[in-house]
Amino acid sequence: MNRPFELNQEQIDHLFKFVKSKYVRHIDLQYEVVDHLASSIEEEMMSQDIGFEEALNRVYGRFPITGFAKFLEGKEGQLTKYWYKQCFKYFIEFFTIPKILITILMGTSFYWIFRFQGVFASLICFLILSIGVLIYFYYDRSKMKKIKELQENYLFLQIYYGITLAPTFMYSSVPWVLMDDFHKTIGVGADHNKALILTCFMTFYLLYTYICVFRLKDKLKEELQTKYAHLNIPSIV
Amino acid sequence: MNGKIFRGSLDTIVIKLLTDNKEMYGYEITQKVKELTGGTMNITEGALYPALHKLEGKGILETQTRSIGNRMRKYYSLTKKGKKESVNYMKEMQSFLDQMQFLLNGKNNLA
Repeated sequence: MNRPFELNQEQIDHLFKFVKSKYVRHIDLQYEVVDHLASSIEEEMMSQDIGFEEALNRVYGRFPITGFAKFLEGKEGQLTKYWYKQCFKYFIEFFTIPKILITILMGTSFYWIFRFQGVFASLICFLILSIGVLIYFYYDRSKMKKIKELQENYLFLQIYYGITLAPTFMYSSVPWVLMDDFHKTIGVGADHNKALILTCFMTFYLLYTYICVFRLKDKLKEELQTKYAHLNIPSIV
Repeated sequence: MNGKIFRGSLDTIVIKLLTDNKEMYGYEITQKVKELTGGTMNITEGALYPALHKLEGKGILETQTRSIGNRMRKYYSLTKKGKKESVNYMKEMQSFLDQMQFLLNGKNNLA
């Protein structure tokens, strides 16, 4: 749909400020809202022969009383669903024959350690979790400040980091609670059920970390160069 | 036009338009519906974008953003999955319309 009349740069800039004042603070969302408003305003100005400000008021008046809230909510839900789907997809893809065997071997080793090795199990647990968290810091520590800034500006990055970073740290706190019991049974090892729970948890934790650190990060890099190329986000992932 | 009935059909309307037009942007969809229905149906922004985002989340739509003059514009199009699903959406809608017609006609007959 080509339009014979287009808003000028100053008016477009005004629209960006306007949508920001209406709580659309993420740049990736502002682009879509601004284009919609601009197209509606152009139409209104042409058909009704009115000025920019009046047209803006009329167009914004057509939005629900909550303004752009529904728009934001919908986008947040879509992005959350999208990244969880990607995560699940990689999780399923991971289970090819050699990797299934590695996972079973890893799980069996965990069980053996937790069930029969007592204190040693606590140490291994500590070591693996620390390595997991260290990997994250090794990759992202220097970039954390920049990442925080990007998260504030771009909704898709906020959702991405929310899914990949936060749960990892959350999960890493769970075994500490379970390990509390280990210290009461030093040298004995956990009972079958507890050892099984810890085994499942540790195996899942390592797989999830692997998917977030390597696979999802690659996916994000790819999207920054294609889907979000227009945002010119510096490659920091 | 009853808004509730309309909102329930919005996904199908969007999919049908994108089947016919390959790619469209948000505002264009609202205008096209208005044009095709002679102004009797109006898609509000508050209903359209959540529907577009929902379909994108389901993997039925994909987007591409391009520069148009002094601003960026996001175009929506059907994914491969969307193209396959569109047949089901149309069938379901047609079946719903047939049943409604049957029910309404039946009532008329009784009256």
